[in-house]
Amino acid sequence: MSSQATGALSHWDKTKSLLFKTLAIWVFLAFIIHWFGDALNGGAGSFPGGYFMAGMGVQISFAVLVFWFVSKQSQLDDEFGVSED
Amino acid sequence: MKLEGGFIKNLGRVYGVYTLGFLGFVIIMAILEQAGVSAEKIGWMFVGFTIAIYALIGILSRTMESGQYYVAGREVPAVYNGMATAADWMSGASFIAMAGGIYMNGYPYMAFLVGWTGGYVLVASLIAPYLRKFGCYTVPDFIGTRYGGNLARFCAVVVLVMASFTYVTAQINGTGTVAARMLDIPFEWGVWVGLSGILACSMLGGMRAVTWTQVAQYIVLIVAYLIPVFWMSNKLGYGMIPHFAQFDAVLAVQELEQLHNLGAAVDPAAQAAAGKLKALSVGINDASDTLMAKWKFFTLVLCMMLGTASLPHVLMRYFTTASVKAARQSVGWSLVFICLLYLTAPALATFTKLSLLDPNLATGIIGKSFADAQSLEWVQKWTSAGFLKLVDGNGDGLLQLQEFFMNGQIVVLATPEIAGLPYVISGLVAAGGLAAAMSTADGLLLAIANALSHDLYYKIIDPKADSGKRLVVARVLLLAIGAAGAYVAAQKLTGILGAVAWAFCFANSGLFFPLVLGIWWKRANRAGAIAGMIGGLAAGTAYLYAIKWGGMDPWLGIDHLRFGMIGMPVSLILMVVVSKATEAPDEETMKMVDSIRIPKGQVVQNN
Repeated sequence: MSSQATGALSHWDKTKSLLFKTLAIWVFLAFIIHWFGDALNGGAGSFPGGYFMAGMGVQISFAVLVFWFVSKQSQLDDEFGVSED
Repeated sequence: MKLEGGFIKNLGRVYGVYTLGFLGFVIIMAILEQAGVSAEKIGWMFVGFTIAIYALIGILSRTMESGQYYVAGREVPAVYNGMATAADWMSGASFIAMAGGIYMNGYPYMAFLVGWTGGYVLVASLIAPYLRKFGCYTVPDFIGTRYGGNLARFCAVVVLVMASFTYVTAQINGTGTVAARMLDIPFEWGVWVGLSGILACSMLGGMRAVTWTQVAQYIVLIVAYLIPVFWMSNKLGYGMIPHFAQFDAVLAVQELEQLHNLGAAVDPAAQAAAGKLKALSVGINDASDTLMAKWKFFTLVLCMMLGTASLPHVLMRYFTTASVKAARQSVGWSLVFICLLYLTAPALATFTKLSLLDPNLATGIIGKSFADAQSLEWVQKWTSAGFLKLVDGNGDGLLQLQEFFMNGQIVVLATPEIAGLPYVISGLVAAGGLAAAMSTADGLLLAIANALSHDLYYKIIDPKADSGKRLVVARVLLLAIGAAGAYVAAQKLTGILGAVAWAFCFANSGLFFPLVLGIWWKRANRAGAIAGMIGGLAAGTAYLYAIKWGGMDPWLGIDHLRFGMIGMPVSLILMVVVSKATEAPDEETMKMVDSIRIPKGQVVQNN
């Protein structure tokens, strides 16, 4: 795999970079948003944003994130000709 | 076995007919109820009919081939594997206790909802596709081959057994509770009835049988969870789609909480009379601004996520897909099917709360006459079941919020009755809870029995055993572990949720880093992995023991639900330090890691 190290990025390098992107979004959805749950809730009578995020928003986002990751990874595998037949 | 040739191609038709058949059964039950058949008989028929169907699928899927027994022949399509994983994953705790947890504990509890979904991002990106390419039968199989040596394999088996056994007793407890209630038998017997149903699904066909029963169980549990919530939302006029209507309801509940003096002190004498049952004391959406509350949310999310990504009974579901790509897609589908239930739980909790607290509703008994509330049929029924206790502590003849003591589980179990839905819905909910607990118990029992038969017996004790003998050993172990689980469950040691969170912490303390670094860090070696598994598990377990039974005060709010916060860093540090301090893995291992990093080519392990 490291034979391609000269010049172009290898399949594994690109896989790692896709992983880091995915994990960065994951950290945001999993931890950062909820750290501000009280602020998102706003004052009395305003839309309960913190509750919405913890009970619906991030779950839907996680599902979208997984499908996005899967399609990117499949493209990557195709690009380097390492997909299954 | 005639189905087999065309079975995989005809899945849509088979499960379509099955779903229609199940809905037809529910309608027949509803008609029988109208015709005057007693609630008890309807309960019997729900439990009996669904268990019989699962058992039938289990028997039709019997097999004597080890590839079928351990990984369902690696031919399960991504969407169906997603459904099976969702059933495997959503336990009695998710089904029965989650909405109740949100009801009783409000916002902080939703950390479970975040953790138990976000973990799948890690499963998809870090672990599952690589283990699928590796081609192992069990999770310890990967550890044993990647790091080499029987000790590493054995350590992985120990972590797996600790995590899964803790979890499975809670599930057998759940099946026992439902069976006991619906069949009107003592709990101790209910546990054994539940276990017989569980074993009927897995004994003869292993992973293959469990896969196809789990799909069937998913359909029952999701129908059972969604119908009452949609019905209630429409009947009470909250809107067609409860999920969107709940945010207005949250605001309404917050006003009612003030009206009913939420947070006022509970009379100690009344609490004493209620025993372990609790009065509502936490607001629905009190996302606190204190650092400690934020930290507790963060740590619970982290423990549940990394636990999700290291629980063997979940990971092994992705060994059954036809390809690496299908394994990845299947994780996405799992999350979709899980979200169908998880996104409904907060809506259910909110509407149940609204229907109890709103004085303008007929169901809103809080703040009204104590005697009237006590004479309600559902109140009497659940009081005698020990799930509910009304105590007029201040003797004013009114039922205050602080005088309504309950077990959170009734939010799911009793909601149909609270909202005045017909009994057939209660029967449906019980069948759903049973399906959820049984499907998880099956996955867990199989994970334990397969690890013991494949990794301990075949790979370590008797490598010459032929496949027939191995499968007999696997089944004997399944029976023995099931019996042990039922025995422990019958002793009623801990509540369902305590034990479930522990399983996640055992798994993440012992297995998360050995699994992830085995794929992503070539330098990780045998000594490091063994140190990581033993050290992480020992540190986490010792901490749990110290705070739970040893009288130690938890550090930094890290309580017994979060003891992975101690185990995980110990595991990571030991694994990195010991790996660095010892020799790098050999060339062959490096090549093996390279080969699992691309989907193309042969699997590494050909059992």
